[in-house]
This record gives sequence, C-alpha cells and structure tokens, in this order.
Amino acid sequence: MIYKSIVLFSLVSFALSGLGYFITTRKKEESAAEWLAVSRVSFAAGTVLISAVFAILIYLLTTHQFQYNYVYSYSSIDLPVKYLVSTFWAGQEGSFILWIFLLSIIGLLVMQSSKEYEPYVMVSFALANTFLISMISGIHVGDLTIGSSPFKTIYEAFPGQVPDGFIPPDGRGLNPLLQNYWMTIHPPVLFIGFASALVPFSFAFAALWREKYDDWIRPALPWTIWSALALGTGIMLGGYWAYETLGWGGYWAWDPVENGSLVPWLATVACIHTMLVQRKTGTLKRFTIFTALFAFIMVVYSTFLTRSGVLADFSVHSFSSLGLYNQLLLFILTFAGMGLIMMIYRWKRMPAPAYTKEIYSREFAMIAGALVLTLLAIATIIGTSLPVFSQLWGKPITLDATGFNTLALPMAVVLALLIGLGQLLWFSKTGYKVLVSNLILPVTLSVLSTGIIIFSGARDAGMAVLGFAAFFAFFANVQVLVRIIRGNARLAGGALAHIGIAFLLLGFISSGKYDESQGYVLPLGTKVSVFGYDLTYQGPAERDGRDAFKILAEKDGSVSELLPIMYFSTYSQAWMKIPDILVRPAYDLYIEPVTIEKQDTPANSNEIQFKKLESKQVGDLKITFSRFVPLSMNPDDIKIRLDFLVSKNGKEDSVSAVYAIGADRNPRSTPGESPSGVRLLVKSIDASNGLITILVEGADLMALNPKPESLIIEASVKPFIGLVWLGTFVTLTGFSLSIFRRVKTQHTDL
Amino acid sequence: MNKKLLAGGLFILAFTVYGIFAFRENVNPYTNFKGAETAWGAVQIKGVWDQSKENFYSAEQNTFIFWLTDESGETRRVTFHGAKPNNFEHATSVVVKGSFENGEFNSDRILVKCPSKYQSEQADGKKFQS
Repeated sequence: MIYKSIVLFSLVSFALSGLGYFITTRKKEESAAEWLAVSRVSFAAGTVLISAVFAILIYLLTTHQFQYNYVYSYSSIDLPVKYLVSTFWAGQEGSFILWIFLLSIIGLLVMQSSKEYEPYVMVSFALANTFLISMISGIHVGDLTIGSSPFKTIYEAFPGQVPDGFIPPDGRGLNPLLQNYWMTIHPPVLFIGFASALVPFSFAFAALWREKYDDWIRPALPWTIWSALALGTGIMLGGYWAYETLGWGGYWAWDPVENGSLVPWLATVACIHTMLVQRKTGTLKRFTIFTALFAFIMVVYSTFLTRSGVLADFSVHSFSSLGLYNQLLLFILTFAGMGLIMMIYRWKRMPAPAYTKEIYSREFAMIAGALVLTLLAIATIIGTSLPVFSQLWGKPITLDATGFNTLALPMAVVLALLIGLGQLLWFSKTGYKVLVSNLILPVTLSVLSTGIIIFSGARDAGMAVLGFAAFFAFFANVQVLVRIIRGNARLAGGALAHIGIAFLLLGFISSGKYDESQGYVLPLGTKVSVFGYDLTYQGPAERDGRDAFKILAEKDGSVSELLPIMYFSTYSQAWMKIPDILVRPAYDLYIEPVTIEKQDTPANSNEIQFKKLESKQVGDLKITFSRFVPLSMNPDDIKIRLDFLVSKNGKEDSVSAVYAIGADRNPRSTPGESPSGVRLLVKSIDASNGLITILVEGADLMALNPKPESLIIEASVKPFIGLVWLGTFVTLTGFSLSIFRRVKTQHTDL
Repeated sequence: MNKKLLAGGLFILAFTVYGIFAFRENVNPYTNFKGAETAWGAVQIKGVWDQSKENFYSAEQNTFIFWLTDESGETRRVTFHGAKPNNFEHATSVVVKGSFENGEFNSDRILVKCPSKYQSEQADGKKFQS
C-alpha cells in the first residue's frame, strides 16, 4: 500500500508543479516568483518520489519478492544479476517507470538551464510526467482502475485464485528472448531518446506561447541532437539484437515497434536541419516548430500504437494490452492537440520572412532534406497505422515490407543526393562555378563505383540509382571531411554523420537486396557445400549454457566453428533458436537451425504394434497389417485370422496368423510364415482400441540402416552487412561530435 | 519565394501520389481462402493449423507445407517458402501472407500468434499458473 502511495504522491507533485508553472506564466513579479518556487519544489519532490519508486522496484526484483505480480511475472530466482536488471523494463509498468524517471532527470536539467523559458517549458514536462505516472498508478475510481500498478500483489491480480498473502516460491522468469545483453541496454537507451524528444517539443510549444520564435533554438538544439543520437543508438541496438538473436535473418522488418522508434528519429533529424537553417537564415520558423512538435507527438503516438493493444494482432512484438487504451488515447490527443492547436492558433501571426538564398545554397539542400525526412516519417507512420484505421470500416489491411521499401527508395535517393550536394555547397558560397569544379571528383568516383557494383551483380535499376546516390554522398562528404580536418576539425560532426548515412544506404542495398538464403540438410559427420564453405555437423554442443549444435565451416584451409543454438524453453513452451554468424569482411554467413532429425531408434525389439491398415518398417521388412478375418465368433471358441503383407527386397507375400481364445480364456496363437521364412506371431489383441502386437521372426534388424542424425539449417550470405553497423557507428559518432561542439560553444555560425 | 513554394508543393504532391501508388500495390487485406482466390495480389489469412493433416519441411526446397483452417472453417494446403517458424506448434493462431498460384496457396510470410509475447498472458488470460 505504501508503495502505491508513493506513486500517488509523485503524481500529485508533478500535477501540482504543472499547475504552478502554468500560474507562474500568468502572474507578475513577486507573485510569479512565489509560484515559480512552489513549482520547482513540487517538480523536485516528484523526481525524488519517482526515484524512490524506481529504487523500490529494483529492491523488490533483486530480493525476489514474488508476492508482487510484476516480480513474479518477469523474474525468477535462478536469473543472473545482469538479466535481473532487464526484468525492470521487461513489462509495461517497469518501462513506464524508467521513462518517467528519465523525463524527471532531464526535466531538472532543463529547469536549471532554461532561464526565462522555464515555466513555459516545464509545463510540458510536468504534464507528460503526470500522464505517464497515471499509467502506473492503479487507482480505483468506482469500478474503474486507472493505470496498472507495478506493486500489485499476486492476490490482487488473481483474486479468488490464490489465498491472500500468498507468496509463490519462484517467479515465471524472464522471456528468454530478452535474456541478452543487447536487450539489457536497448530499452534504456531508447527511452533516453524518447524522453529527450520532449525538450524540443516543450521549447517549440513555449516559443508559440511566448511568440518568440528564434531564441528557443539555442537551448533546444543540443538536446535535439542528443535525442537523435539516443534514438539512433537504440534503434541500432534493437536491430542488432533482432539480427543476432531472433533468427529471422534481418535487422529491420518495418514492424510497428521498429517504426515506432524510426519515425521519431526521422522527425528529430529533420528538426535538427530546420533548426540549423533557421539559425543561419532566420527563415523556416513554422517548419522548425512543426518538426519539433511532430517528433515528440510521434513518440507518444508510437507508445499508443505499441502499448494500447491496437496492433497486438499485427505486430510480432508489441506489448499485450494492459487496459491502458483510454489513458494512452488521452495522452496522445492531449499532446497532439496542444501542439497542433497552438500552432494553428498562432499560424497567421508567425513571422515568415522570405527565403532569399539561391537554389544552390547549402541551406536549400537542408530544407529539401528536412522536407523529405518529414514526408518519409509521415508516410511511414500512415503505413504503420493502416491496420488500425482500416479496421474502422471493414477488414483490416496492412502494408507489407515491400510497400515500405518502395516508399523509402526514392526518398533515400533524393536524400543521398542532397547529402552530397548540400555538403559540397558549404564551400561553394562563391557560386555555381566552384560547385561544378567541386562536383567533378565525387561524381567521377561515384560513376566508377556504381559501374563496379553493377558489374558485380547489382542489376536492379532502383538499386543502381540508390547505389550511385549513396556513393555520391560518400565521396562528396569525404572530400568535405578532408578539408574540414585541415581546417577546424571540431566541425567534422556533420560530414561524419553523413558519411555514416552513405555507408548505411550501401549496406541496405547489399545486405537487403542481394542476400541469398537456402535450406540445407547436414548429416552428422558429412561435409556439405554451402555457399562456398564445407560445413560439417559434428553433433550437440553448448553455447552460453544452452543446447547448441557444433558445425565446422571450412574454406581454403581455414576452419571455424559455428554454434547455432536450439533449446526448448519452458517459459515460452517453445523451441528457441538462436543463429550463429560467421563474420567476414565482405559478408556474413548466417546459420539458423531449423530442426534436428534424430536417428531412427533401431528396433531393438522385434515386438511391433499395429493398427489396422498400418505399415511399419521392421529391419529389412515392410509389414502392413491388412485385416481381421473372424473365423469363429462362438464365445467359447473365438478364432480370428489376421492378414499381413510382408515385403522383403521388393517381393511381397501375404502372411496369415491365427489368434484364438478358447473356453479356458487362454489365448492360443498360431504363427503365419512366408515363403521367405518370415514368421509372424500374434501376441495380443486389444479390442478396445484395435491395437495388435506381433512378434516378428526372420527380420534382419541390423539392415534397418537408419537415416543418420541430420541437422537442417537455413543458411544465408549477407554481403557487406558490416556496412550497416559501420554506418550507424559513424553516424552516431558524427552526432556525438556535433553535440560536443554545440554544448561547448552554445552559439555557432555554420 | 513563390516559385520555391510552388516547387516544394509540387514535390509534396508528387510524393503523395507516389505514396498512394506504393500503398495500393503493397497493402495486404485480411481475408479467408475464398476471398484469396479472387483477390488481386497478396492477402493475409488468419487461421489455425490443422494438425490432423500432413505437414513437412523440405530442406532442399526450403518449403514448409501444412494445412490451415481459416476463420470461415475452410481448410486448405499452404506452401510456405521458408522454414517452419519458431513456436509453430504453440501458436494459438497463425496469419499467412501470400496468394493463390495455380490453385495452391503460396506464402512468403507467417506471423505466429503465441499466447505469450513480451508480456506474459497474465494481462489477458487472468489465469494464475506457477
């Protein structure tokens, strides 16, 4: 009870803080200062309380307090500490706490640094926290329960099914898919991104509120880049986890949960660009505000899509519903409403100074890039929401991965071209002629490189065009990077981030479009040629304490060992399969276990059971039980003939055995014999289920020649998939450099 | 400025048209086998695996063949181009995406609906189990 009260108190604190900040904006001088103080203290108190909630849940999890439903549902005694940490955000309630906690910390930091913006900005923070805490409050209002409390006990969760005060001896444990270190860090990183996305939103909202459209960008920009960095890192960790653990062979499937983090990232990156343009030129005020609002609205909307249960039937991995639908709907409507209504309300009065630069200026490329990113984000979120809205007027429809890819392809081409052009224009302020001379080298190199990839097999027109654009982005940015490093290396962030994007696009082409996949049977101890490797299945093994298969991969005299995992999870009541990957510079060889075919158990007995019309292999014989023929049904003298077909070396004989039960109730059996010397003796007949048991003599059991144990795998080759990881890493490094520079200078000229 | 706005507007318009085109080509309506036979392009069918009929995986062709009973009760054979999905045995229902080719339903994607996903079933099922 006390735990739930702490949650309630933090809810009240944040609500009070929000109200206080709102009043602050309406008061003058002294009165405003008082309200400001109250609001600050309330926000700090809320933060302390939610930190306590955070600590309590950790305490309950680490001390295995299974009387709490959350602890019981996601953890168990045998879970190692590193995964005990993951249990915190394995469920909705815990991940909400994490999100609220991060929002509170970021809120405090923003409170410290936002000066005259403070009350306007903090209203958004206090409001978001109030909404989020309501999701975990578990308050009962009449029959209605608001939110789902992480501190619900087993006996509250299952009333009537367990006695009050019941403490289960052990928990259900953590979903084995989440028992992975990528999954330990992926959620917190993503939530840092989600939480930081509120900073640009709150500042943009404050800008509309105060009708001051320029000075909000300076404090908001580093946070926006930070948000893009965290979201990008989170997306990559999730993608790598999917690739390495889930075994569906890819890192991206356009699943609603994935799109839910991609769309805010696209919007955030668009926002960074519009912010930079606005700072440089003073134009684009409306668009900048729109992208800043849009990014966080998309964060909330994705939360709604993935947690309300509306997509439960369409996504492989959205959370199941906790009955938060209405609350989440209210959350998204509030934030979308307050952002958009405020924007519409101010629209006419927002200054829109004319854009005076030439078409071939760096800023124009950035505006166009931001526009493309925004459109792509909108299209992606429409595609993701399709099943939800189409349901309203009939059977749901979904957009498949091909649809998303088709949608993204031309956008990616335009973006890559802009990335190259825009960066080159940095140095082309003098105009058209310099631009052309700067274009010569990257264009030439791109044409050559595109020629090479077409020659090596990339014949698809769309891919060739994207390849050219990506190469152009790459060479143009390298050219720029070289010059930057000669000059002021601190400015290298942008060029690096863009080079990373070029790598990513090239990686998407090679690993997405030109991967090959094929199923193979690997008999134990036999070499099988798979994509240029000799694979030999060597029997069962162990990896990370789980059952695995040992496969040797030989090529050109070098031998590597692969250990794909397949084990039965009692948690999921299912076979879990984890691929193993042979990483080479030019490709990954990806081996996923499909199934294991055990050696047929040799018939160590010649006693065989049959149903009518059943055929069985007994050593070198194939025996079919064809029929019963009752010879006498006199209760004192039951006599039944049983007819069999015995096939040996392709020759088929019919054999009849007789089974009789006399007045003494003792069965007597007369064997039947085939010309080839096979004798069949009926041992028993079970009239209740029609099963008969016979003894077979004359079968060569050793000739059974069973199929050897075979491992069936799905193997695929993913060319240059390393470019995807390298690209993300380089892009994120670029983001990091930019934050560093912008925080350090806090003012900058481009 | 107006020219640039016009260019931007035209670009957005072009993208919208393209987007609608991409959507139309690649949306997969949910239907049953009957609807799939007359449908144009790929569809999705939700159903339950009929375990009484044969099912097998051919490693050489990397196909998995099984029978599926759709929501209207019709049972048809499905050829899935891929390995038998994880947890297929434990699925409460499966959604197959694909289309009919020469009277045979060919699928390239199967969504397996398991009782437990990230969350345990405690939220939906309200059954205590230890």
